[in-house]
Amino acid sequence: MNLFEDYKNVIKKAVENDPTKSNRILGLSESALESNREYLKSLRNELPGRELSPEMKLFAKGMGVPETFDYQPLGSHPDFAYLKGTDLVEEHWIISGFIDVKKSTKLFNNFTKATVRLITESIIRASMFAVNLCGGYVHRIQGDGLMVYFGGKNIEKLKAVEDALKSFSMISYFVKNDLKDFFEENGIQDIHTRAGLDLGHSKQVDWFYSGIGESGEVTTCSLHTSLAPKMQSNAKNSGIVVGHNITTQLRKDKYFEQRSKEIHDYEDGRKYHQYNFDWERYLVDNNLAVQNDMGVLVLTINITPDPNRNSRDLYPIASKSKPYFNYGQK
Amino acid sequence: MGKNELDKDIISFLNNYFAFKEVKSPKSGYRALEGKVSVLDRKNKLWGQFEILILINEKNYPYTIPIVIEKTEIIKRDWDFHISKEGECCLDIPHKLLKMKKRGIVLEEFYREVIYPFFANYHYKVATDKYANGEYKHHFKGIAQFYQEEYGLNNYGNIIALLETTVSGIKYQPNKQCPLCGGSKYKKCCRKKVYSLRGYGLDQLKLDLALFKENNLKTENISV
Repeated sequence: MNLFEDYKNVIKKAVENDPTKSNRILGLSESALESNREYLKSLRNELPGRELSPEMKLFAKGMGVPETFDYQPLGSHPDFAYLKGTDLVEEHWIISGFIDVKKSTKLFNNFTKATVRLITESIIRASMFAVNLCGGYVHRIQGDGLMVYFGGKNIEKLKAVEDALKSFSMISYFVKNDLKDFFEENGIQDIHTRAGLDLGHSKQVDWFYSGIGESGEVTTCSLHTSLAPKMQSNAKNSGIVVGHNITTQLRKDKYFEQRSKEIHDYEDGRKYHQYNFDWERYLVDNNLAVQNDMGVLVLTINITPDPNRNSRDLYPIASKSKPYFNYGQK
Repeated sequence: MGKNELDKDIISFLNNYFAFKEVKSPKSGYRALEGKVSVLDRKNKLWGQFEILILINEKNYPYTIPIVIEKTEIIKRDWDFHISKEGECCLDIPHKLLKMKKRGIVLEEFYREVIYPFFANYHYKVATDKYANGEYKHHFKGIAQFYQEEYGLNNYGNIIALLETTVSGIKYQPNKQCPLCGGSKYKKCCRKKVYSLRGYGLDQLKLDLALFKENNLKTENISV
């Protein structure tokens, strides 16, 4: 099962049909660009929208969520939308997350901006799908990145933490496993995600409306919302860095490695620590991924055999084995 | 030395294969790893999962062959599936495993090249009714098949002569006619096979020699 197959296919087709490579010597003519723009316009329709692909539906079903998503408007978390245009403030816990694709500016060196636009949109839509699949709320789109909230009034804190970790793990998987190699084959090196997540408890988070009139958003004021993008910038390639509050909810040390430098110094002797999150192990442990013979992750929600499997594809691995039986006889 | 190297290799294995964990070993002197093998083909299509236990001799590592037990009982306890009643998997002909043992194994490589393919091959057999690369016959017939496939030897008399030479360490003139099969120079004929056979170790060769002698007699009796 390839959960992100439709997004990957659109990116693949956009790259393969990019006119830059074939017109490198003579330069890009306006007609070539126009024809490519028309092609990309129709290709965009192949991106999954509210209606999910069969694989995505299967995954959604396996995770116990509806097969059709109700993508919420950005900028107003539904549980706090009533704050819009008011000067009210509500204290409520929330998980803030930032994720984006690093080195994506290199795409402009190899492709037209129309191709880059569709690649970026595909990654954004795949990420939005992963966030919604895990019950999160996309607050803002920032280029090829997202600011996301997990949690709300009708969800337990621990469940929201688990959802946030699953969602960001899936996005990291998509770029690392489905896209990175493909981009490298096409001359774009080292594309990767970086992500940061932190939880602010109710006493640590103010929800309020920021802005004037219609020009504003329902947002949070919290040290932990502010720390999440800092953690993101500290993450290694394809990494997710989380705050101490996340680790104390999950209480599973095996996923978290404390980084040597704290993310915040309270200047009263206390320090707030950040941790590298082992998202690949987390996906496997939570039955969202399995590993092949080389240890490479494959996302799957269902451990029943794939109906489209073919013994021809199993042969290269199976033929390394030639069994013998000698039990019960010396 | 074995323990430090095993510690290092177990940590590395567990850091790469997340569906495994170290558990209390049911066998004294062995370390035990328990986990799931998910069989995926080259297109990453899933064929099935097995829960297994890998037992590794702590003292002898890396010069040891891990014991692999299939715990889910998905594989029918039938000798056609090369598994004991207790679920112990017969991963390969002992001779090949002995060569690996003599050379020394690396846990991750052994998992990738021997354990994982064994379970992939089970699915291949279920799907196609045959093993991908064939299989060895059971008991002595499998040993005879191995000598035939590996050394091109069909005649038990020749095999016995080769084994006796290897076991006893007899040396022949390299440039004279091969005393074992009557071929041209010994050094270009059976000597290479003698050198290769040494890799399986004396214990296995003595066992093979006894089996071939016993079966050679049976054959003679039958033909008489």
